[in-house]
Amino acid sequence: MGSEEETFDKIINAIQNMGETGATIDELSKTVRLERHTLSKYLNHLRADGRLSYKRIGRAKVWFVSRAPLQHIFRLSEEEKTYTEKILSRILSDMPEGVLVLDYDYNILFMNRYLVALYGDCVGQKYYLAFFDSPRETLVQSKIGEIIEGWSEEVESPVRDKEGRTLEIKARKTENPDGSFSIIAIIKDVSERDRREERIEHLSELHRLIGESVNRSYTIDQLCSSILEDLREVIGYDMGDILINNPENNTLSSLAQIGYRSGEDLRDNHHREIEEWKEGVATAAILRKAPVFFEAEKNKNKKEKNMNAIENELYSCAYDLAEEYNLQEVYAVPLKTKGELHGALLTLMKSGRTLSEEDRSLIEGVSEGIAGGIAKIKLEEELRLKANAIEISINPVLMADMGGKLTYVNPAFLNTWGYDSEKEVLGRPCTEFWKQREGDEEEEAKDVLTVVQEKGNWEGELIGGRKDGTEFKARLSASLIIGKKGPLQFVAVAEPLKRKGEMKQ
Amino acid sequence: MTKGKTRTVMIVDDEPGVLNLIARILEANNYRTIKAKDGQECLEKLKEEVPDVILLDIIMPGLTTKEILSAIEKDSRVSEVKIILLSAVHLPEAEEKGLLASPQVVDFIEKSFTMRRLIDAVEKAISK
Repeated sequence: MGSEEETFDKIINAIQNMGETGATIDELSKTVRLERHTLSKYLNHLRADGRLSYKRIGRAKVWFVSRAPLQHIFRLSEEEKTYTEKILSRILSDMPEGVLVLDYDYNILFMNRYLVALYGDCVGQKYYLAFFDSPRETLVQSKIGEIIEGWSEEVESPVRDKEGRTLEIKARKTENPDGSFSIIAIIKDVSERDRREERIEHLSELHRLIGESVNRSYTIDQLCSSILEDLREVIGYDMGDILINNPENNTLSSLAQIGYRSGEDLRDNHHREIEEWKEGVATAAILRKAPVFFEAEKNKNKKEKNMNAIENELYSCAYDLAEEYNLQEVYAVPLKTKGELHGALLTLMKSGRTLSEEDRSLIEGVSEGIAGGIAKIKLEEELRLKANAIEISINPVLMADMGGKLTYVNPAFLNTWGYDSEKEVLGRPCTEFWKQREGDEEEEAKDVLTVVQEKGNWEGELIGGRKDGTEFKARLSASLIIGKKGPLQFVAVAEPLKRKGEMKQ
Repeated sequence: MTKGKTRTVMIVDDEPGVLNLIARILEANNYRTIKAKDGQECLEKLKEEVPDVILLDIIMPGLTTKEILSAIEKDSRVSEVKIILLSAVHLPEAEEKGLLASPQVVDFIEKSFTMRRLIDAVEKAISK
């Protein structure tokens, strides 16, 4: 084996000594003093090993010392490759990642199909120009420069190419048979993954911010203002509105705005007109139940075309709005929860600025969360409004848990029973506030709860016992409240019955 | 409740706590009850007996409310049965789904509800 290696070295030295032009088999045969047949056997061995490669010039083969790994594979035509070389070149070519081979001077020696699809065939070109369109001195960014400059043997790093793609590069220095070195790099375009991750990050951040806004807000106006600010923090749009549907008169009204000129007179007729344009765009999104995207440049002629009434109105309003504020884009997203359309969110971009597709999909992605928040606050407002009716009722109202302990009393209850604060009564058994029923001393008030549990409700007369010990007669209507899983609470309304004397007074 | 013959109410709810409680209370109010834990069981039991009123929960596993309503509508034996929808969703959502379109649906009760509201709705449905 030792003498075989010596022969290999002799052949390689002989080819190197012949310089850049390479060597034919005849020239080599004379130099290394080997018979053509034997020499051919050694040459093919070295070629299969990757240390030598050849170029076919006419009928002759000119042999070179390989200046890069795998050089013999990508230099040869398919017919000239051995079976293993064919398989290897196919694997390299079809890999789902990019394979790049560079020499020590940034020249691209090989790039596989994956990279050709991204950059075209750049073999022979400088790597930094083909990938980054930048001069050599800024190459350190690409990390491969670190290997070429001799700072490291291996690098692994994400970089951004000339098209803004994010590439994940793993590169390593490889010694060549001629003593020089090459770089083999595995490159993957991870832009899509990065975009997705960024979107998920933004989406979860927005959901978190919206969740916080919903928890903080007491009214829909507060919530809408807070949401517009949250959205602008993540997506830098120029102006925004939230228009909410008013079911009573089926109109839209702008509850929150951001980014508009300050000091606009809201009563001004022109301002009213602007609001109508916004309502027009928002209405289109609501009627379509899908986002509406208006691009001033692309859509400016559409309003003249033959369109249905909704589209005509949409383009007309969006066009006027764009003219008014020198806008490039108007994007409207309906705010809907299951079964209910609450309004629309408008985002406006000034001339020269655009909302990316990701931003639009992000806005659409959080729109249901926003609508859910609006629905929640709306429901809370409704409940607060209804609670007012109970609060001002002249009839005492009470609620008790399934154990019979008071959980709620209204002011009329406190007034009738002579207590100052609900703290004095909440948590106490509701039966403490009633005495034996008139004419039926055997049946106590606590039996009312049993009857309500059995029959679902009860109506009748009881004797109430005030804090000061006095008594009064009252008519009571009690019922069981049933929730999603079963019984929840007792609720009762009392009507104190006045004595004849009191009636006269 | 309406005086005279005993009326029958079918309760369809996948939540046993609600199903049994409503049945027990209606029985205490002199109604006969038929219990079904889902749409499939509801349709099977309807083949055996025709109630006066069906209390139908609208979110259950298996058949959708639309499928149940459609099957009931197609069956001439039960075309007179009044249906009261019980729901944990709000009325607009049910409207959008077209659940109130059936002429047999006479009321919609959102959970949580008082038993007084439910008993009144059953009595009203029977008197229609």
